[in-house]
Amino acid sequence: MQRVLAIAGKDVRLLLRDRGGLFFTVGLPLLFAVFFGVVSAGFTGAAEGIDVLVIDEDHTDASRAFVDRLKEGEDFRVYPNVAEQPDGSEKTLTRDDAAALVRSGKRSAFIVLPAGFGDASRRMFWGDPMTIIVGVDPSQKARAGMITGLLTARAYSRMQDLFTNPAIMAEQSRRAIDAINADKDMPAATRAVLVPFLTSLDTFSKGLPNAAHADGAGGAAGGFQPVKIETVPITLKKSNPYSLTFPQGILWGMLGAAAGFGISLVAERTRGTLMRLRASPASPLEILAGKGLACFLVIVEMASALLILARLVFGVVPTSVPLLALAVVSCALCFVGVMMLMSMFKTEAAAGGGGWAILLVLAMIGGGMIPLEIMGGFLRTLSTFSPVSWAIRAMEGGLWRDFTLQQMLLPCGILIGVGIIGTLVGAAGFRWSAE
Amino acid sequence: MDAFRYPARVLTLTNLRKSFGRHVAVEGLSLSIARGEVFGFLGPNGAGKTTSINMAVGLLTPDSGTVDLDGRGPPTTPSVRAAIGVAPQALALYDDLSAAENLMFFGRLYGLSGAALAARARHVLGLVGLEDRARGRASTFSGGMKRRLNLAVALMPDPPLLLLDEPTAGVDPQSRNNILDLVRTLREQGRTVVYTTHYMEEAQKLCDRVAVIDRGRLLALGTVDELITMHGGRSVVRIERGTEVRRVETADPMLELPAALADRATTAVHIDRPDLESVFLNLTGRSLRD
Repeated sequence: MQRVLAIAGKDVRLLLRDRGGLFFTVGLPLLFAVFFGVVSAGFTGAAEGIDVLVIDEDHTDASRAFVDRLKEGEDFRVYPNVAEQPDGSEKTLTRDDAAALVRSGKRSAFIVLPAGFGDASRRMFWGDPMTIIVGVDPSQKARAGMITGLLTARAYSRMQDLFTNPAIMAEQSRRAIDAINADKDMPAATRAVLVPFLTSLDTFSKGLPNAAHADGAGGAAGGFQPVKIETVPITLKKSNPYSLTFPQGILWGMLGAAAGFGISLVAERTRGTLMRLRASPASPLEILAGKGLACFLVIVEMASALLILARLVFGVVPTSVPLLALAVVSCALCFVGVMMLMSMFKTEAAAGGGGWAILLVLAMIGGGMIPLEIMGGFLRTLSTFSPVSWAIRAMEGGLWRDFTLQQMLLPCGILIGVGIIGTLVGAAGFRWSAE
Repeated sequence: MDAFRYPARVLTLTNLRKSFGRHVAVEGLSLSIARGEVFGFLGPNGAGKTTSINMAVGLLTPDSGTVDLDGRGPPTTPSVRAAIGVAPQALALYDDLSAAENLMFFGRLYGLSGAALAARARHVLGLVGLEDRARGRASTFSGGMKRRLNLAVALMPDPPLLLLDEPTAGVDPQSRNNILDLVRTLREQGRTVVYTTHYMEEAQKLCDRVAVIDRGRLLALGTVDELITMHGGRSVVRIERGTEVRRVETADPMLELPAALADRATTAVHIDRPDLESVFLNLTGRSLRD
């Protein structure tokens, strides 16, 4: 073990003296996390629609029609509120289930059409408007605003249909007048405005006032709103944008460490020091273990330092420190395997160029550059083949997705598996001789 | 060519064979190196020296034949390898570590630690004349200093057997003198040194015995005098008479001297005795090697 520690200690010392390597392992990740953390508050979201889970608690034709309307276009990707159970049966999801999905990042938001939605949709210009409840991370201000805007647009779109269909408008007017007459609590002034208005709607519609966003639910003359959107804050534990960017930044540090140590292992061979190591009493296993331990330690130390910095300076509070530690250790093991694979290149130039090229592709498809949640369907599927996506998922699981230990097992298991396979393949294919 | 006359053998190679694809690098190599001798291992480029050394230190596994280190078996096991110090021809140092850090790192690989490790590093730095540069990074060293540090690393475990591959390649006279003195000191201390070099005068001055290898085969083995006698050819006496030069090849140049000196027309007499370089060229030929 003394030899393994000696090799690991030597490599860590060499890294600390290599300004370039140190920058890519610690400096770049920090810059990445801070820079994108600053700009991500203005993150504009979905390229192919926002993932939303829709819960229809009203179960009326109107609510179903509204869900269909949400599915139109590419603004939303609508997921039904059912989930398949292990026994094959389907479970109807509740608001709590939906909140958990949003909190875990599996959906960007949830939309609830509460009971009464259909009744409210039949009222125009008076009474409570139809209400929609949106659950979204309040820190994602741009996304929350976008969802609100898109829902309002859908509601207006419905209004437009009403006003362009004489039959529907006549039916709506008749129902509205009946309801107004039956409502003893309606202020006389309001009644005096609405009843004549509704009976001469054809005329009125030609000069409909532009007062859609007037405040208040009473629906007095002076404006109305077609929909009231209530926002339910789902406090994703990524309570600030740095919760999203620090895992990505740390991921880049891991890539830098894997690349750096992979290249250094190749350099040991090409510069002759590997021959000297092999001529010493150190076994091949000890030599590779020392290299792997150095890579592992640097990754763990780098991740720990950045996470502590994220906590102290940027207010990123992990949901579970033990699970986050599990994630970091799993990631470190994974990238030790990646490092071993990189060491299979023959020359330093090949390892530096080819190795980094492969890592960049893995990072691109794995969410190292673009957040997974805004990736398109194909890319998102492709990302499952990149250890980068599992590394980010695992770190986010401990940082803000509020994963349980059971939920952590999949990403961590995959990471450890990649690490083991990478280590075995890399060790088997390692060129011990420069010739 | 008595390869086994030294009773205390430190390293014994028996009928070694190693090939790379169709190229046979070493074929039927057998020799034995005795404790306390400086053993020269000579051969042109591509002769099989490095392959032989790599098999001797356990870096390569022979296709056939055996390597035995001090009766403890082949150096493929770490404990056996611990008895060998290697200074490869390529400078095998970490440029971003200081001289002391390089030594202490390799010392740890041989099981040294704590105060003993630090003391050994100081001692070895003194042996190679680098005690004042202990904290200097290897990257700042001259070629000669690096070569001495390269040798110092091999000395760190205080091994009974040292394999020095071209230890004086590309160094200044002062560094070369330091290294040669150090090798002599090691011999006086009872260390065994296997010394590979292209400098024949070094081998001639330094080595107790010399092996000449070419195309993977052992061509000759013996003391320098034995090799010169067997393979050096005859001495040449050059007798100058003004601008005229007469060359006489003879086994005993002293026999030619009286007649040459008795001739009043003789202006100068030179005796060119065969040396190790003659042996080397006679055995390996004069054609250029890649």
